[in-house]
Amino acid sequence: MRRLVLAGFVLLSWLAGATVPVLAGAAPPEPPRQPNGLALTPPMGWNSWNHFGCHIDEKVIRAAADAMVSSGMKQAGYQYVVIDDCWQGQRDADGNIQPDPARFPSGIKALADYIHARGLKFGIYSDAGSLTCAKRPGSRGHEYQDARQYAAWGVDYLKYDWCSTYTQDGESSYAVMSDALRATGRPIVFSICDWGTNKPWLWGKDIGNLWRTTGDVYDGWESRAGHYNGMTNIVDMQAGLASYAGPGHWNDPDMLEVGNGGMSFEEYKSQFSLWAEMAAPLIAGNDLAHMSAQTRAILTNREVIAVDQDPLGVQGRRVLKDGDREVWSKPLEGGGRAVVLFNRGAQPQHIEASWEMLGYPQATVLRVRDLWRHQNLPRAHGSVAAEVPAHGVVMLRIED
Amino acid sequence: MNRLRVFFAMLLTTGLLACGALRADSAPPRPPRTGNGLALTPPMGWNTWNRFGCSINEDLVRKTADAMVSSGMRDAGYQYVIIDDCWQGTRDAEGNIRPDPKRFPSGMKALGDYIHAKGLKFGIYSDAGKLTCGKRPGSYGHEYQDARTYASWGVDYLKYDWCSTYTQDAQSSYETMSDALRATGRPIVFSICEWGLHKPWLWGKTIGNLWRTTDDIYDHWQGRHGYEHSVLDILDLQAGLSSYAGPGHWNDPDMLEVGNGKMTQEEYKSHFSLWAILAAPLIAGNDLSTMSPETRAILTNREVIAVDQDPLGIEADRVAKQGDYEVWARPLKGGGRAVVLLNRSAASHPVTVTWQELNLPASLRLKLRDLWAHKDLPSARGSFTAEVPSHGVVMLRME
Repeated sequence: MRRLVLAGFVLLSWLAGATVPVLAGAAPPEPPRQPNGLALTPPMGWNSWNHFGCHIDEKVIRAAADAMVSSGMKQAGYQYVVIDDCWQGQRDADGNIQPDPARFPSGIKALADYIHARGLKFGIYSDAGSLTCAKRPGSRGHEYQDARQYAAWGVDYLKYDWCSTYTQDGESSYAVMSDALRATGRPIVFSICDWGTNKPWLWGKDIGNLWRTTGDVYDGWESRAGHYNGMTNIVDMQAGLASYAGPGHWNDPDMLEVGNGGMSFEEYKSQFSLWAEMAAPLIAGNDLAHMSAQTRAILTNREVIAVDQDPLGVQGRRVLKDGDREVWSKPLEGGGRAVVLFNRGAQPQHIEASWEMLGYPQATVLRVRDLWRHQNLPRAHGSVAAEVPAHGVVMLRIED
Repeated sequence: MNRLRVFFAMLLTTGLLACGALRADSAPPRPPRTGNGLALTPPMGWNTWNRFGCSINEDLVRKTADAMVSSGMRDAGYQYVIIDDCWQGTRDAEGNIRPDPKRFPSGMKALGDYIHAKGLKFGIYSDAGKLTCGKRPGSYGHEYQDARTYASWGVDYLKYDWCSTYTQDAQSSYETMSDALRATGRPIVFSICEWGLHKPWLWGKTIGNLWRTTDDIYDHWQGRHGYEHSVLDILDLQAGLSSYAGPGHWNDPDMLEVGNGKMTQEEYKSHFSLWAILAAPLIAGNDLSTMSPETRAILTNREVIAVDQDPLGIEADRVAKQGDYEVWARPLKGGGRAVVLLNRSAASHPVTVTWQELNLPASLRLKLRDLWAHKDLPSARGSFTAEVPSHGVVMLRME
């Protein structure tokens, strides 16, 4: 069957002294892929799941798109309006997926047009298995059809989940949808959502644009019974992964909970700051149409967003952990650093970041700017320190 | 006290973190499946590959369908006319696969109709990966579309290969196409062809109807040729797998080479007899239009075919081996046995089967029939011995 194809391989293996039976038609490596050229900075947008879960319809999505504009989020850089699970209906006789007609009576293309008309981009959701997590039809076996359908609707972003996959291979399952998306000819950001199960940081670079590294976040400071992955747990689970991220391919510590009510103002500022520090996608997960001024102020902090969107695209790392005091450092284009002083304790604390931690010679004098106070601090050398609120941060930009 | 709290907090956190995602229901077991109800006896037919490889076209297939009827093979039980690799052209704008227009100008539906008009069934080929072994488009990512296309052409059988699959999981890949075939509503026998790499006998039962257990056969009695296996090589590799086979789900030791010229008539008879006793699919792989009377006589031996098609569907085991002399036996419906006495050596030699080897009491008197001589032999008790030609068999039905 594979005589012509494998004769050379057989010979080489025999010469190499292979003792394993030379069967494997699957053994030659796959031809390499190229990145799709998208998401050169971490994607920014909004997703329906964290606030609305399965309770979505076209009115909710349109309202979110409107609010993204009217709140100033669009001007601040947010682009993608992403519908998560529960939009799907049934497949038609040709196997093409249709939206739930009760929830999306105008159809998906009309919704995409609505979003595009507001200068925004349109994201949708599916799953690599036979069913989505909410038991809607998954894309397994329909990858090329579904990609074509999404492109026809004007989709710009696909979040691709991992439920009902059983023993499916992670890399192949995401690769086939990646190939299917590219075959449409439409640029579609590809969000790998296998919760880190298949170590996507090892293979995701030329297959997708971002990959979830952990299970879902929940709207709380730390894990509680029945709710794993509080915000700080997710932060800790990013350790060791920073080197895999870069322009076009990001670690994804899941969506923002800012504004959802389960954390305090300081805690939400911490999430937003740390996500920016980690070059994470900034996907808002609250009800944009009804957010407080405080929430909006967090989400539209341009100076913090600029750290997230820094063109160098290097993910920040924790450079100090001393009990519940942490220092994080992110190299920026031009040689500067974004620094987060993070106080995980229950009382305000003094936290110091030394130049050594940041990789600067002791004597270097640098400008320091507080990105939440929006104030320049005195130029410094050797170290910088601040009083940091409980469960809060001070975020600084340090540069020449 | 503090340390204890910290300990339990760590334990809790570790446990919670180890649980993974809130929505991680890929961990629960697969929903249960049932078989598709097809292939209650091993499929019988013909396939293009062993004789014609990639050099195929619709004329060849039509002529072969004709020959399958005129040679008596159809009446002997052969049904499926299976087109292997190299029929495919490109996919259209909707991603639907089309035949190579030069090789199949009349289209696949017309060919399916032609085959059906002769009282035969139509088989086709694809691959679980991106490309087939002949580098044509594979079905990965197009499973439901392709299944629908095949059903619209009147396909009755799909052989599904494993090239260009890289790190794909075999069970999931075959399951997806299995589901896609069932979703068409058309009964389509599903032939799993991943060469035994991922132990398909462990999961194939409710996913397909037959699974290849080894790499490809080649037209030789013994020895290896790269990754290709001779008849004896494949025979030996079936050891331990017999219990996985049964009605609707068969081990597949690859297609027949009978008539392809590199083995002797004796060897081809042995090949055919052994496949029959192994309850293997009988998929002829020679040129049916030009086959010799000897070849035809082997392929249409109804008594041997009846062993292969025995309704009990129990695959043989090797019940005795003394150097080059072997006894293979399988239980038949009604309580009897089919027995193959095999002589692998270079000279003719007697080979004996004892009733003990057949799990029968030594005192039991059995009627014997020689399935190649087509003769009843004197009934016997305790044991039976026959002179078996070199590289040959004596095949018996005992009841």
